[in-house]
Amino acid sequence: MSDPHGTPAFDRRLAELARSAAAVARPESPAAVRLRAGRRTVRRRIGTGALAVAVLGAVVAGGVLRPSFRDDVPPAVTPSPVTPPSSTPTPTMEAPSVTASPPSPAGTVGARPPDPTPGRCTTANLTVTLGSPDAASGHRSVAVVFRNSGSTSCRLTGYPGVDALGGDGRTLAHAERTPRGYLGGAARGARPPTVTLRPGGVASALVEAQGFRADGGPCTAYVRLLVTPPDDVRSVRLGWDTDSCGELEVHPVVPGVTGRSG
Amino acid sequence: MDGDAGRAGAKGMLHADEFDEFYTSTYRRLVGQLYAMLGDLSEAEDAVQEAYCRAWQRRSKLNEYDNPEAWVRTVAYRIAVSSWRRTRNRLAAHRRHGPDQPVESVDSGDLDLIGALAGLPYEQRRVLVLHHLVGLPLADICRETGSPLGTVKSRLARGRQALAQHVAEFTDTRHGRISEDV
Repeated sequence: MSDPHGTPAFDRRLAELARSAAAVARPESPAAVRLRAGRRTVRRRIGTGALAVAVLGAVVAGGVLRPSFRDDVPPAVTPSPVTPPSSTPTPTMEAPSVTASPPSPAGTVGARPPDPTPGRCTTANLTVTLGSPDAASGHRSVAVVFRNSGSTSCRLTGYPGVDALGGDGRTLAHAERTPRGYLGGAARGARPPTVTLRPGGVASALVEAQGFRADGGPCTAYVRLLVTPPDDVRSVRLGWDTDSCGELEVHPVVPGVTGRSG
Repeated sequence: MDGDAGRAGAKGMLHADEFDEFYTSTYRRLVGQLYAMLGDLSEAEDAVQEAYCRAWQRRSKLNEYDNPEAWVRTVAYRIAVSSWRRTRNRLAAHRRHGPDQPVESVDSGDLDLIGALAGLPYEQRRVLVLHHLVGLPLADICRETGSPLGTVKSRLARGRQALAQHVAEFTDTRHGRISEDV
């Protein structure tokens, strides 16, 4: 129905559609975009050759060229193991200046104010599992859940180590440590909390990734995560059924099973 | 829709706070526009996000661009379409037929229009969105898409024709506003 006095109906309907999409958009912080762009610049210098190969691969797969040396499936390109950025990723983007109280616990086991008495949780007294996966806007996430299987309380603080492995067990990526990401993480502005786990208590850290690679290379999905609890040296392998293949991140341990707080 | 923002006045390196303001003031609008072009919110958001990333990488030049918002939109569109092509190639390799990639759409809303737009070739759809949502005159659409005027006009006309069943004012294509807007 065209409204003779105003905007044509199509324009309005289109605008409404765009608005509804814009309303549910979940922008990263601009600082996170800048940070990611900065990291990428380093990687890009190395990655240009790989990109050219990928583009050629796509052309070949698209049937423009039909050489006999490779037939079809683009994802069959074996991924070269991802080299982590040489500088150690800094866990804090903006240094939190406040002595924030730990974020309110989402789950059952609360974060008490840091309590020096209990010892650190280690793989010896932890059961590590993956929670339910989540996805939005090309981003995928899964919470790594740490359950205190010991008989005394223990503490967890900071980031677990997380690597993504391919089906052949090779390391595809090392997770970047970021306070929070698209789908969750630690509360804004707060330091990673110290979570005290009573026997049977749980805490979790959110792992995020994306369903594409930022360098445009072929997407070889992660198959397993190699998880090392914070301040620990022993790790566990956990199967992750996902289609994600890039931008692996891990956020700090927070109370509850969702990997989210604040 | 409001006009493009983010026109940078001064030349020179874009500062972090300028970038942040540009990002914050334009992000949602661009996601909306890209969603209208692509029909897939996650694609739209990923592409826009990635385009801002590239914008920051070339911040030394961004201020020289006439219209940084249009630059981000153009780059985001290219990213989305090229990743689509990749996905299609991959899907084609895996299963010879079947539906296109699953589309995550905005749940509520104008399902009729969403469905109708989904049937359009994406270049037609892009031109429709640039014209009817972004509000660009044809000359600017030519610049943004890198296509000659004749191509833009015919895409717009064919897009409107294809939507005629769902959009009352396009039913009589002779009343199209193409020539008025040049």
